[in-house]
Amino acid sequence: MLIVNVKKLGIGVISSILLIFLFYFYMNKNIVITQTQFIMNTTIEIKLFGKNSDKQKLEKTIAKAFDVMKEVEDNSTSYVEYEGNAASLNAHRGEYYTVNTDLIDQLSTSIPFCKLTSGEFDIGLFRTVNIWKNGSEKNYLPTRQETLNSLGKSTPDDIVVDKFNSRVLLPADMEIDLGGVSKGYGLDRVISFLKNSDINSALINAGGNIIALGQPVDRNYYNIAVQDPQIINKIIGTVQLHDGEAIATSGSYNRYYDINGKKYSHILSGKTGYPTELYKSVTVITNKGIISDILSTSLFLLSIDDGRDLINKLDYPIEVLYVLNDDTIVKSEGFNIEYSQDNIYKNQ
Amino acid sequence: MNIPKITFIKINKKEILIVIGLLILALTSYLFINNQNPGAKVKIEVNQRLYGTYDLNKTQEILVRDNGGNILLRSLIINGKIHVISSTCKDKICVHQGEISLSGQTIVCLPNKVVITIINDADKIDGVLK
Repeated sequence: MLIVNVKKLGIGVISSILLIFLFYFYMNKNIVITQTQFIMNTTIEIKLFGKNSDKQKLEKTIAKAFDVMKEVEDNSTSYVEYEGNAASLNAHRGEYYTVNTDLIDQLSTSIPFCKLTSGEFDIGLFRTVNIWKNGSEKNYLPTRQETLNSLGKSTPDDIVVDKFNSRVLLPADMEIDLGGVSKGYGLDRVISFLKNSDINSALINAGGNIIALGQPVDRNYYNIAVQDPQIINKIIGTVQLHDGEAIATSGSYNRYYDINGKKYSHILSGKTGYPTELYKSVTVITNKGIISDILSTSLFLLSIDDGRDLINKLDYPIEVLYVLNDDTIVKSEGFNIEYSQDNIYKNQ
Repeated sequence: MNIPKITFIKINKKEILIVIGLLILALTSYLFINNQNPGAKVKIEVNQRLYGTYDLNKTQEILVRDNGGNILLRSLIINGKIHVISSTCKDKICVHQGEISLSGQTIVCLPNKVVITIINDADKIDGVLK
């Protein structure tokens, strides 16, 4: 006969229930895994949102996500030659050369923008960029004639992209630099990788480019602080970034060539090879990383009117915010920003 | 009529203590799991490994060393902000970057592979667009 001690059983049941409850609660706790790595000459921060029970999976996935970003970097760089990448394509200019699919994708998306911006946005500026890099190293200001000469006669429209055979014919007088494209493109690649890895919520921050997947636990949007273009430790305000949205800022404030103590923006006009100083910063929200990257650069180089024409020609949802040189803000109606209390910029 | 017989189980002091003890243990574990010290913090990583987490509201100097114990950089937390005072790197970009205090902001010393990040769950900022 089985004798059950009711009291002992009771205590056992209570402690088991408590343990199960605690375990369940621990595993269900929402966590954020954040990692930072230096890729594409910038700090890339990836945040994955999930449950404690998925912690190992999240950690594995985040490491692979960085690998995707590194792969895009290697495939797109103009500085180190790998088979089929931009540097190798530059070396094989003037002939058909087989390139990787990342390069095909970036070229076919970005080339139309060169024409759409009347040549202001230009992916064929590798030589011009190098003139400015050398200039800042030697403290020498390149002349307008020098930068103009570096542009060559061909325009990105002359690049032949043979998608079917993964080949590209680069004009002999041109070398490409995808500096204003690959970061945004990399974000898209990482997002599709994360979706395939069953990640529902993630935020990827590549400095001036951020893309959102899903939502954090307690809200249906991510809060993104937009940095003040003049004071590094201040923000203009916060923007709500929803699932699938990408935000990008172009400004002269955090990347520039320092020559004789003067700062020259790293965003160069494809028409002159010289920086433009139309705005302090331009911020764009759209639904693709690569488009946010290309557009923030393009709009930074165009007048507000020309920028509006460009936006109207495109099929993407686009919101834009300009910080003008006189510290006023011009923005599209749908660009919702909650200004911080100490913000000095006024709506025009 | 059949009246059900109610029996009271006599519980002695020892058993009450065990139950109360279990409840307290559960409650503290619950609180521990659910509430890991909020407030602004500084996270320092060296070579992608966590080096330490520090209170951003406590004035302190933090020496970041490599595995061999050599000092890589010196940083200072003061007035709720952190900046790098000196670094063994050549470019000194980390030193020139100045103070940071907003959640999500980073100071990176690429040559030394040091990343300093501000974490503040209270301000609900998920990312800083630079």
